Formats: sequence, C-alpha cells, structure tokens
Amino acid sequence: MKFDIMRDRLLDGLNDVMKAVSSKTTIPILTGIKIDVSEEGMRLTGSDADITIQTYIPVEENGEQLINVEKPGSIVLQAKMFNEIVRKLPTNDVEFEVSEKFQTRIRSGKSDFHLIGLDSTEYPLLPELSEDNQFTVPADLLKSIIRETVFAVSTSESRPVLTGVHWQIKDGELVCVATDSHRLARRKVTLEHLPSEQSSVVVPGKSLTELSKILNDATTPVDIVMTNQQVLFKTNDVLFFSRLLEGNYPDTSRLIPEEYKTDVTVNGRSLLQAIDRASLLAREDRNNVVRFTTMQDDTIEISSNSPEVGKVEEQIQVSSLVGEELKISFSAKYMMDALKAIDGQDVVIQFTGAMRPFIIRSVHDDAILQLILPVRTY
Amino acid sequence: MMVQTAEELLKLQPVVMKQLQTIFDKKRLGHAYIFEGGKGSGTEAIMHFFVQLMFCEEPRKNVPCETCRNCQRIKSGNHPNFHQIYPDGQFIKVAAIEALLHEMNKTGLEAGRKVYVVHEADRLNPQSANKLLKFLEEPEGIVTAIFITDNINAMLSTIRSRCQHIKFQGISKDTMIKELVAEGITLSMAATVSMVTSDLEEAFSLSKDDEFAQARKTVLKLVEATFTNVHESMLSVHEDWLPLFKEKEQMELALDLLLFAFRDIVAIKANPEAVCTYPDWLSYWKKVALQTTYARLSTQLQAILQARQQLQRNMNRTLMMEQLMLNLQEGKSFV
Repeated sequence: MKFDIMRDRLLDGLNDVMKAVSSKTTIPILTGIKIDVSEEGMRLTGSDADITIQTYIPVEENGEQLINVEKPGSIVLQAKMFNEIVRKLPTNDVEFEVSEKFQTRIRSGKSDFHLIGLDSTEYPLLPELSEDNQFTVPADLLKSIIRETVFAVSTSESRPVLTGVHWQIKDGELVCVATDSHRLARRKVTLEHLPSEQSSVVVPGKSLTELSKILNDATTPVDIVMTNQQVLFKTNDVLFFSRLLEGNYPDTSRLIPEEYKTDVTVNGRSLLQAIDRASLLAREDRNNVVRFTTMQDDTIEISSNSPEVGKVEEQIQVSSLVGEELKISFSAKYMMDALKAIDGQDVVIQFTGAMRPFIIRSVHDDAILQLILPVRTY
Repeated sequence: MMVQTAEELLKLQPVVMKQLQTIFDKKRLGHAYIFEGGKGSGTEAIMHFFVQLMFCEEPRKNVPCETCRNCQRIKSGNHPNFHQIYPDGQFIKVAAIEALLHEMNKTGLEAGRKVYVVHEADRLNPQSANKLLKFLEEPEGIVTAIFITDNINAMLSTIRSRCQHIKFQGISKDTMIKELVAEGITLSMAATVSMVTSDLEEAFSLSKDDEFAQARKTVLKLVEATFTNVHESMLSVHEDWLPLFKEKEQMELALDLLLFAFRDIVAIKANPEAVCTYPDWLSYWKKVALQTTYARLSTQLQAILQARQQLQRNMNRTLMMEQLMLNLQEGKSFV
C-alpha cells in the first residue's frame, strides 16, 4: 500500500473518527484506526464497539487532487499515536507506505516515521447495508428528535432495553419513544419516502447523544438505514454506525390515556419557571415533588411544602381550564425536562385524575408528547 | 498457554471432546456450559477449541480450520463477539459483570453468535453471580456462556442449575506416579506431587523444586509436633513454618500439604493398604492412626479447612496458625 494525501483533509477525517475511539475497549484492535485506500478514495474507521464512525476522503474533490494512490491496501494504526503524528507533521503533503509485516512509513517534509501497524483483517467487519430500506431526515430535525426523546431513557441497567430510544416506522410515520417507566417522551415525524414495511429498532441513548454531537445544525440530509444488527446514519462524508439493544421494547401505545377529565392550556415557559422556583424548596427533600392544584377563574397553583425547609405557593393564570377540579403531585424534574423538550410554546396538559398518568403536548399537534406518572402523596 | 492441536486435545480429554463435537455437529449448542476440571485437564485449551469451532467459517469434521478470519481473531483476542472475564484480585467483581452485561445487552458488532467466558468462575462473589443470573437465564439474542472452574461446588447453586455441566477428567494418579517414577523421581515425592497437581509437567517441575521439598519436610515436621504436644507445635510454627511460607500461595500450598497428611491418617485408619500422599511416613501414620478416633480426625480436618478459608480472607498469618495449632489439639489436655 502506498499513497500521498493532503494533511489537512486527513486531519479533518481523523478528528471525526477519533470521537468513536475509546482507550477503555476490551478488544485490542479497537485501539486502532483502520485505513482503507482504494483507487476511488480513502476510508478511515474508528470504533469503541458501541459506535463506529467512518469517514471518506475521495481522491479528487472540486477538481483538486487530494490523494494520490500508487498502490491500494488496508492497515490498522494505533489511533492516539497516529492522530498525534499527523497533527504535528511539518508539511501539508504526507506520504504513506506500508511494507511487509505491517511496517508503516509516514513521511512529510524531512520527518520520517516508522510505525508498526496491525493486521486489518483483525478489525471487525461492518455490516453491509442495503440502500433499499433507507430514509432521509434533515440534520437539524434529527438533532431535535434526539433532544426531545433521549433525556427520558432509563439510567438504570435493570431493564437494559429501556436505556435506548425505540424508533419505529409505522403507517408512513417515524415514531420515537423513550421511557424510564416513570415518564415517557414520544416524538412523531411524518416523512416522505419512508420504507413501506414496518420496522423498529432500539438505539442506545448514549449512541444518540454522541450522534447529535457530530451533526451540524443545517438542513443537510442524513440517510438512515435500520437493520437487525446496527443502525447507520449517513451524512455527506461521515458514516455513523451504532449497535442496537437486544430485546423487545414494551408496547407503550396503551400507556397513553385516550380520554381526559381535566384540560389545561398554559404558557410553557411561565409554567417551567414556576416549577423551577417551587422545586427550589422541594429539591432539599430528596424526592423533589411539587403539587399542582386547579383553582377558580382559570388559575392554577403550583406549591411545594417541605416541613423542615419551608413552603412556596405560586398562582399562574392559564389560557383555559376545562373539566374536573384536580390536585396532583409530580416530580418537578420530570416536568421541567418535559417542558424543556417542548420548548417554550403554549402547552396543553391533560389529566385523567390524580392517580393516573397525564400528558403534556404543544397546542398545535401531538408531534411531541410527554407523559408523566404522578407521585402519590398523603 | 500452550497451543495444542485438536488431536492432542482429543487424546487428553476423549470424552469431553467427543461430547462437544457432537453438540456442535447436531447443532444443539446450549446457552451455558460449565467446564469443570483441575489444572492440566485442558479446560482452557478446550474452551478455545470450542469457541473457535462455534465461530469458524468452514469447520472440517467438527474441527476449526485455524486459518479463517474468525479463527485468527479468536486467537488474537480481537473477535468483537467473544468476551472473557477474569478475576480481579480475589474475586470477579460486580463492575466486571456490569461491563459484560452492558456489552451483551447490545446486538453484536458483527452478526451471529455472541460468546462469553468466565474464567475461574468459582471466584464470582455472590453479588456478581446474582447480577449475572437473570441474563444467564434469559439471554437476549444468540448467546453462549462458558464458565471455567476447578471446583464446581464453590459456585452458586443457582448458576450451576442453569448450565450444562461438562466434567473434565484429570490424569489418573496411578498413571502420573508411574510416569514420574519412570523419570527418576522417588516414589514418595511422586505420590505427594500427584496430589498437588494433575498437570504432568507441573508435577515434574515441582518434584525437582528444592523449595517444594523443603515445604514438604516442614509440613511433616509440624505434623509430628502436633502429635507430640502443643508447645512443640507452636515452636515449630514459629521457627520453621512462618519464616518459610511468606507468600500467600506458599501458605496455601503448605496448608494443602498439611491437609493431605491428615487425610493419610484417616485413609490408613480405614484401610491399612490405602495409597498415601506420604508413603515414606507409612509406619508413623499407622502408629498415630491407632491412637486417635475418627471423630477427632474429622475435627482436625475441619480445622485445617477453616484455616484455609481464613487465609483467603487475609487473616493475620501468625494468629491463624496459632489458632490452628490449638484447634488441632482439641480434645487433648494441654498440660
């Protein structure tokens, strides 16, 4: 294998790939970065077993020659070392040559490195993903989908499947659900060109958080391919693979009540602030529970009472208040997370009694739906 | 670890190898196995053989090809669907199990079966074992677990009951003693080392080892002292035993040797023709056996086993040995 490459482009590619490489891996080969060079371009792969990031650098781009391939091939190089070396090379032209026994020579200007590489056949094989089942989401929408759901995944490993977000394609919609069995976040998106057959995967919450770090805020399209083994998010040059969680995701559709007894429409931001204030006292008590009471004349009261700390009451004017009177208690943290996900718009909160879960959604539609279980207080 | 070929393994463990190959041939791979076998019975080598067989791209006659990508990666420890857990210090800790479960609850990096191996599985502490239980019982996806242990009884019964038990035969003692004697080792030494290990090579190097010979002598001296009187044994502990056995492993070995000595006495008492660990002391054993009762010997054996456990818990060695000496005197007046 022998080729030259522009250092800047190599470094850009390495930066993305390095995000996936972890020093804590149990599989020795994953401490390395895999480099595949073909006549068309160069592919860099880094992985920590959970997520895998691949970048692609074409031979030519915009009429500019980026890579000059003399002899194609593959090699795995120690990620940390390689990254540092490339970062510190003196000139923008880098020459690679891999000879027998994975001896790798990296030359740039007058500096000349000899690195001992690893056998690229030892590197895990990434699944071959067909293009038939793919669908496209703009990057900014994908980012908001992740932001609106991933906070609700379970942090405890006792039910591993709940540490992920359930992505389901059904009836021309993508439905993303996350729950930790005390609250639930659901985001529905109607997309064009969704695959017709129904399919679903459970993507680990951590992988999605990582993914959202490398996505930009523009509307660049992201192609998504879901398989039984892995899910792939594909942008222009970067491929992001994540492993999935095994097991069946519980059926969450029946958790959402169908009829409601009390409907409240309120400005999300003012409610969020009121709850934040009430939770100042509730936080001291370890359970962080606030109480929500409907009053006369379209008013609600948010209160919190911790006998050893003190108490707080605050009344909020709401746009509408329909249905039965209600006193209900819930976790201030869950409520705040939910309101933050809906992001400041006017929200509708719908209750079916003090002991039943209630939902929060925006006034316009139920694309974003948050469900919270109340807390029993005496 | 020595790389052994399938033929060598077949010679070492014919029954086990046949069993595993049949399991594979009939495609009846279970979800969990316990490989039980002492040192030298080839548990590690056969585990590798079996794992390679499960992953191999083109096995021939139920033997892995050793050359395909998967076989190579099992050997180098780079296969992403193959995980191994080793004890960290005394125990396999909860953190190790959590990491394993974290790994196992996700789909494999590559398609197909996932395999995990727990080495020295008797060192799973109860918390770790319980953590593993649920996953062991209801694994998600296609998973095979292999527990390797030399003492199945030290494992939690709830784990044992969920696994298929595969017992490895040790080399028979007679064969080993014969082999050693043929190599020019004295019969008495051969008999002793054959109790300590079932690995022929290890046995051979032990019998040549001066330190081991010294240990054997010291232990026997202490045995004699315990039957004389308690003051003598205390003296022996302080003068010979403690200065010689400084490391924990040495102490473990010494206590085992001590246990074998008392085992000999019981064996001789029951059957004067029995095979001894210390054949050179046969006449002394016979003499002692006449003077003691089974009940007393049983308390003494228990006392040694208890000391062995206390050693694992890092008890102060001097106190432990003194206590042991007193316990061995039980039922006998001190004056």
